[in-house]
Amino acid sequence: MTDQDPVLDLSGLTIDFGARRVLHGLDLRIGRGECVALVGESGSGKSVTAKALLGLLDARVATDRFTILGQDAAALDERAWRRIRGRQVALVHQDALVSLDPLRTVAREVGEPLREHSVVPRAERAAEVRRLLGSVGFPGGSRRASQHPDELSGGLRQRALIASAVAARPALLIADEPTTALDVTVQAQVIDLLRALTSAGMAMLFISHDIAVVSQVADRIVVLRDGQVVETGPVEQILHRPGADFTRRLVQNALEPTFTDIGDRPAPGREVLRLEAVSKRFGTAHHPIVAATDVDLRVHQGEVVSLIGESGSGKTTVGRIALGLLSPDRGSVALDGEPWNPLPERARRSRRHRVQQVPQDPLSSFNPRYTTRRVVAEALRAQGRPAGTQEVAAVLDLVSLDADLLDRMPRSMSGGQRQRLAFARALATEPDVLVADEPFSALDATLQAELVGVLDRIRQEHQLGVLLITHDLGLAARISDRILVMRDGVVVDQGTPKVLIESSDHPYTRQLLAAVPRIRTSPRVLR
Amino acid sequence: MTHLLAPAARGRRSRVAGRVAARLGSALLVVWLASTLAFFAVHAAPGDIVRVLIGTGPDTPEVRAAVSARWGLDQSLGQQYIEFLRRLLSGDLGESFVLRRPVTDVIGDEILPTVQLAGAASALALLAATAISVATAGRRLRRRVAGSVELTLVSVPDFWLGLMLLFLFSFTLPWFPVAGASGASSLVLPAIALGAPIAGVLSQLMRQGLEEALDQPFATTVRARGVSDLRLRLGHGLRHAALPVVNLGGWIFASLLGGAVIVEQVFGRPGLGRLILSAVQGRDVPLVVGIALMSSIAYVACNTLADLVSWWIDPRLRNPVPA
Amino acid sequence: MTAHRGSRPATLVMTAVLVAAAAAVAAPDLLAPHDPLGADPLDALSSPSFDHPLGTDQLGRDVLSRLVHGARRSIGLAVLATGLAVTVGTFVGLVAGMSPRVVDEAVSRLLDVVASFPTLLLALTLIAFVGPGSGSVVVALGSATVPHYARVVRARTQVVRRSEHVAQARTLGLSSTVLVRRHVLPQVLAPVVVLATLGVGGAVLAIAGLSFVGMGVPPPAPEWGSMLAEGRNTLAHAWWISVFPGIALVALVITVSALGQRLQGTSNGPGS
Repeated sequence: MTDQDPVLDLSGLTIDFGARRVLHGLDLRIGRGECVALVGESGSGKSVTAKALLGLLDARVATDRFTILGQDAAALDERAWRRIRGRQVALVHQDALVSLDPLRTVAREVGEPLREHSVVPRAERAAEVRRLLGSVGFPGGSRRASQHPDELSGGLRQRALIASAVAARPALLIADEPTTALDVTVQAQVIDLLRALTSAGMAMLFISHDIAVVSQVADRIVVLRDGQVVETGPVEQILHRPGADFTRRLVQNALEPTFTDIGDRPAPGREVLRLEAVSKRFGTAHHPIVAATDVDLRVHQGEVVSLIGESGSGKTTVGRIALGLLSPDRGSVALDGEPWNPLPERARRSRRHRVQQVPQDPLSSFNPRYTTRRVVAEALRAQGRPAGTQEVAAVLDLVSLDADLLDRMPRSMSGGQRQRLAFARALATEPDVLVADEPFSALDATLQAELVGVLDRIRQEHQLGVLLITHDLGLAARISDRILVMRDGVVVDQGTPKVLIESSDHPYTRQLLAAVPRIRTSPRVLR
Repeated sequence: MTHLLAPAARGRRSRVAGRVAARLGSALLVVWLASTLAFFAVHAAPGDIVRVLIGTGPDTPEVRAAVSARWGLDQSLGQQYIEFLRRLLSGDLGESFVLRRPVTDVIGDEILPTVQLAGAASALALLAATAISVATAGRRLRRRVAGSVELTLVSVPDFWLGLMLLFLFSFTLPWFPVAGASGASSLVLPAIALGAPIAGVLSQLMRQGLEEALDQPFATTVRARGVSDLRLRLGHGLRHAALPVVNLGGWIFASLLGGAVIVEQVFGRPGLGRLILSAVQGRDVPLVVGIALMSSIAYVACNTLADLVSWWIDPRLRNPVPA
Repeated sequence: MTAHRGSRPATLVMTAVLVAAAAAVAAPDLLAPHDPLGADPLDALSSPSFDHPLGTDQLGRDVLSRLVHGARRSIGLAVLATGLAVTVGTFVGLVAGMSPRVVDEAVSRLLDVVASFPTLLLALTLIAFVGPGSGSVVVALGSATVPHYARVVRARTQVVRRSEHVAQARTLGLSSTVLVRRHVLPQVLAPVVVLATLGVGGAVLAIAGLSFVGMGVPPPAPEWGSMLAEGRNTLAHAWWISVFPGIALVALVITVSALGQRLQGTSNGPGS
């Protein structure tokens, strides 16, 4: 082959699982030092493509042309594929906690491709592993290399996973959602690392649902939907002159954080939820884990207050204390001006319906034996209200859920339908306060936009006070009246979205803002 | 080395040490409770112990007093209990009423053939289970066949399997001796009879463990490095599949011991089985309880060891995330 | 893992075995051609024939008749022993799982102690105290397997009681009795049904084993385990005495275990 040959040249890739076609004719051409991104929502056919390109897919795969480094890959047998995997085409998966063997040390995992492909003599393998780990910015050398994946932070794990993928110096790296499981600050670092690899000449196929992340690394973008290619083009064209409606919506959702102008809204009503100096610790006396320290928070009628922070910041604990599911160690919660938490369960029971929750994973919040009808009826009956078909259907109608679903089990419904049902159940008791813990994070962009609309409508119609718990600053800025930024159990900054975004001088808020992946106004210059 | 560790790692070390200590503590607690139960069981045994001890001799008050003093029965229950614990700590499980010998000596005389049988059976079971599970995990047709074989193995009573093996390979085809415990050839049939049901259970568990491991994303990562399917199963998968087996350590021990009692009977082998059955028949309560207590202690030791081994295999178990 | 769904022929065989077992337990006199205790020294150790389809034993008793009459004891005692263990185990497990930590710890350690004695050895020890017999077999085996069920129920109760959907139900202001009855207990009982089914198979084997070594049902009452033992000495020239009860035992235990596995497949349900 010559240097002008593409590393990967693929046309007409189709994939069938039995009678179901999950990918209809995909063309990809990736040259040295080039990064092509495959963007689409879950179920669009991105990840099966990754597996097909490694010969690891247990399905019917057909291509018109499929060459890797000039060699025909369409008719390879398993032995031949094994020489290609890791050596010519390598894979970086989503979360290294599950993508690295949890029972092996990092050093053994990185060393495996070296051994498999006899890249360096046996005696030099340990040194090569150290060099590789160093090259991906994995600090501490041998000591950390002898640790197991679960002992490392998410960012370090992902670096180790990348080191193991590039160990045998492959020509093409397939990165399948490589930053999705990471906090925003770490995400930015890993993207820098991947960009450095392409600068050094590696070809990359970057698979992601997040067009904002993709815009930071890709040269060209292929947009997929339901196994069909929607649009292909250079990154600049896709971002600024998208041809398809679908692409336009993807781009819209990923623009710079915007904020609500609270001038639009009527003045907030009475105060419905108030946390005063709430503190909570977990763990033992020797190893305390501080979840919340002196948190003050107020929510008024018809107002959305967001609590944002990275994982482990204590925001979920604050939500459970507001719900009365956990008692604070110190401090107190008032509901509609009356004491709420701490309070004996007996005294609280009759008022519980006034604070309801919408959980992140709705499925686990439904009794696995309950149908949609029973889920809603139980909430209605808890208030002593009638719960016939008509009443239940009326509640479902609040969140635009069809009455056809009455006798379905939640587990057989789609993610969006389940989340609507969770909203419906919460509304059935006519609460004053809704505590929503990452209610949208399990949904893809389109569904997320729809449900944000649902939340905003019911907030307005029922004058609900909403405590929204999220890691997504962009989302919080779009729908909140006020935002509280939490870190290590402490509220470090707060204000209206406008104030926070335009003029906060708190370093952590600025750091969060800087790290939010967004489409930059001037995309990176194409080489 | 310790000084090179970061504070976090040192904290983790001490936490692991703490958990090991806690685990050993709870094991000791269970052993103590089991011993107490055993002590009171002997004393609650129906019938007059002194009468049993006198045996065929004359039952006069003088003889009764002498026998009571000889066995320490004239002391208060509390004193006897403390004496019992003191002797237990020095490895004394009491004395057989019938054989008039220390229980530990009696067990010592009979334990070797049982240990040989149990060792051979568990080695056989482990080998078979490993081979079957590696060959069948995740393969539709093969696992169906293996599933039926395992179900049969688990359902066949070991004593009947023993009888059938005897019938086929000792009576019909004179390949193996009918009874006794002399030489390796006398070990083959009993080891198969005892090991087969255990192999059935282990093979199911290991296949499940393997399939779970092969379903995880890391299996794709490993294969994407160019590692072959067999190497993935042996090098990565087996370690995952070993965990549920290790966790069953206590159960395997109990099945071996319980099964050995019966299998020894089928093959006319000497060993603990013969001892236990004759002790139960003779209502030799101290011997029965002594054997039970000894096996309880061994079981607790097995389980404790199993936990420590599983912490060694899976580092994630050392630091459980607080709920 | 996909749910364990058997093939149609397997289902037919299983149904046939269960029907035959049920018939033998319900009406042995209708099925048995001879008196199970009727000895006939002149007809001892005769091989299977038209009159004695499964042959006769060393006392000339009809093996088929003893097999049919033995079913009630072998199966009945196993069901009783399992029922005892499940009832006590579920109660103890539920109490421990719902109680504060101190009670839970105490109950758990006690269960650990009982479980630390190998089942068969514990049963033998109890029999050493009360002597052999049907009643002592049920009590001995039943109490030796209580920890089995109690531990599963306890662990399951703790998981379910902390689960997201129980927390959710709490926010509706339901009382704790309603919470336990509606949201905890049904989830806890499903695995117990499966375990109990598998447990009956194990109990059939254990009771046969106890009888085999002479610690179970005393002779001359017919019981599969003791029939096997009686056949051991004549194995070389009268194989039928121990082969047929063994086949009956294996067929029954396989069927019950397969049934348990299928229940396990359905109770896990899709999506778990």
